[in-house]
Amino acid sequence: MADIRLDHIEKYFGDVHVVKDLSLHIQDGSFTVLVGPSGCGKTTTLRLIAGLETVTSGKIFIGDQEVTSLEPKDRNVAMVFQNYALYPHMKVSDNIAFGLMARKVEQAEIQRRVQRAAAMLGIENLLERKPKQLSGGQQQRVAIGRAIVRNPNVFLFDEPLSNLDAKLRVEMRTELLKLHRELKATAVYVTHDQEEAMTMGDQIVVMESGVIQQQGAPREIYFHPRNLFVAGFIGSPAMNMIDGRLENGDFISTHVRIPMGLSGPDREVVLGVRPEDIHLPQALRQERATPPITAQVEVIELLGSRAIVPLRLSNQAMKAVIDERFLNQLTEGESVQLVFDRERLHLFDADSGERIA
Amino acid sequence: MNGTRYWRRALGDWGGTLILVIALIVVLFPYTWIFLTSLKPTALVAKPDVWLFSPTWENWREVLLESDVPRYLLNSVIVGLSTVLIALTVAAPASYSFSRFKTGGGPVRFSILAAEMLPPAVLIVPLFLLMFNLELLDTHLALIAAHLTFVTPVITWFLIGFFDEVPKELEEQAMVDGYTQFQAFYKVVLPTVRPGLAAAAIFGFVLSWNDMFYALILSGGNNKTLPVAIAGFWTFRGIEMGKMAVAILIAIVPVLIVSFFIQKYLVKGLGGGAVKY
Repeated sequence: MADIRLDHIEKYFGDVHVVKDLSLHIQDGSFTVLVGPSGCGKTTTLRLIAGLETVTSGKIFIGDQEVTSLEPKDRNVAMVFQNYALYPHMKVSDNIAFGLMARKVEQAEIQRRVQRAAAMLGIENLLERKPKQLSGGQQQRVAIGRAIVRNPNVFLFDEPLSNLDAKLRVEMRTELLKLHRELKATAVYVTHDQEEAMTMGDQIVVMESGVIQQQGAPREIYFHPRNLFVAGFIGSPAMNMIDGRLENGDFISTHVRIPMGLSGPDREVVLGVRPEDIHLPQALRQERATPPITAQVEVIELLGSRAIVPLRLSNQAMKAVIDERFLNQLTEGESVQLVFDRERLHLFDADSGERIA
Repeated sequence: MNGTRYWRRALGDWGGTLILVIALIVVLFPYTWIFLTSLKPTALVAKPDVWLFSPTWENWREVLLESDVPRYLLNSVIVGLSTVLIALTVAAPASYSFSRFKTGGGPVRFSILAAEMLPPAVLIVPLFLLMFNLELLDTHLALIAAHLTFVTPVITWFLIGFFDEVPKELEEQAMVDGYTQFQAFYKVVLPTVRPGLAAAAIFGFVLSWNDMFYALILSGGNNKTLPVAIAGFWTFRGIEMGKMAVAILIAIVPVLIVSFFIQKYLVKGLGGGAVKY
């Protein structure tokens, strides 16, 4: 097992600057998720680690070894692709064994390792089949089996679950995590799905336009987003953003004045409030509540124990997540008094987008 | 109301069937006629309007057992197989390179067909002189070289569509799995396009098999191929129609049978390279 270090990586495709001065340390044994919108450079970063792309400049280390100019085959990484990339002309067992054959592992040892990997993934009965005789979920397992059988330094996953249906995807998430706990291998996982990132990663790297916006544990990313991009990208429904001004330490907008107790110059700011931090006044202890605002309830989308409630404050659209027990206080089309949780407010500089508090 | 619709549909079905039957007759009539001719006694061969006769296998016996046609058949097979083997060895990597790396871009990809667009008459004089100087005239080698000039470009073009359909991830996976790019090509990509390779091989073989022009000029004596031998039944004593018919059937039937089994891939190959650009 090994850690991964990316040192001032630059990557151009022709004139397009895809990865910009990216430095990143991925801890040994961690499950790191690269997340961001499409075109943010996350897949390119993964492919750079795999050696399927070469860096324009910068260095890559896996463990103690510099691998920047090594071929993929010499990096001892395993990769799972979005479309699984199973070899169509080989049966499942050969697909799994193919990487071992390249390394001239003994036949008996190959047998043993293929059997073990198949047992771990519950695909022992599929070993004699061809890939096209398998369902999407089974193909996925074979692809993972092919990766684990090699005991690589690093596992790389390129959106491996996005071709599966919703139910299977959630199952496979859990299974991948269990597998990771068992193997204790370093894993780098690329996804555009922030929910997948939150549930799977012990480290999350949020990327946009080839730049790392924030790296940290899921809780840190969620509760302390470093800038407006991260705040808006992570979380569903997305964080509500209210434009306003910081004056004498208070946040002021057309709808609300919230004492923030901040020093510093007056300026244009954006107040971020997560939907679940908007409450009915009686649902929150008074010392945590901001002064109430009045909003109009547009609809109530019941999810079960909670409901997503789109709101309107004159020209501002917002969403709140309200506990089902309080829904009787709301009526579609009518106004309601709401408060924000004072301890969970996010304040960003409107110009730079950086976090203030 | 329903009745009208029924009749209209029935009429449409019959109309379609009728057109197919006409097409079949047009296509199959010559074969039938040639087959009948091959069974006619010598006296009747020159009379195409005679349909009823007692068939004889005399022509078949003479051609298969007493003539040199089997040797020429073997020549055709040797030339065809060698041509295809060499052409595939060159065309498969070339075609992969066009497909995967867009080598040379669209213009180069298209210009490989340039040799196809020249009339063979343009190439034959230099080829003849070349072979004459190399003292290779009347050898299999001369003919194989000539056939390669048109078989290689065609099957290169033919295979591009098949390689286009192989996802890039397959070879990337092989490279991550521990193979070089070239190993990934021949261990993973080539086996994946096997149906295409088979179709290309047969297609190339048929092109070589059917060639008469180059064969007539570059081969001769014991090394001539079947098409030349067929023409050889046109002698100074007239056309030996019955034997010629036998030789023709020997030449076309194997090709027909094989083409039938690969028709799906033939269509795909001929269309594939052209559509994706």
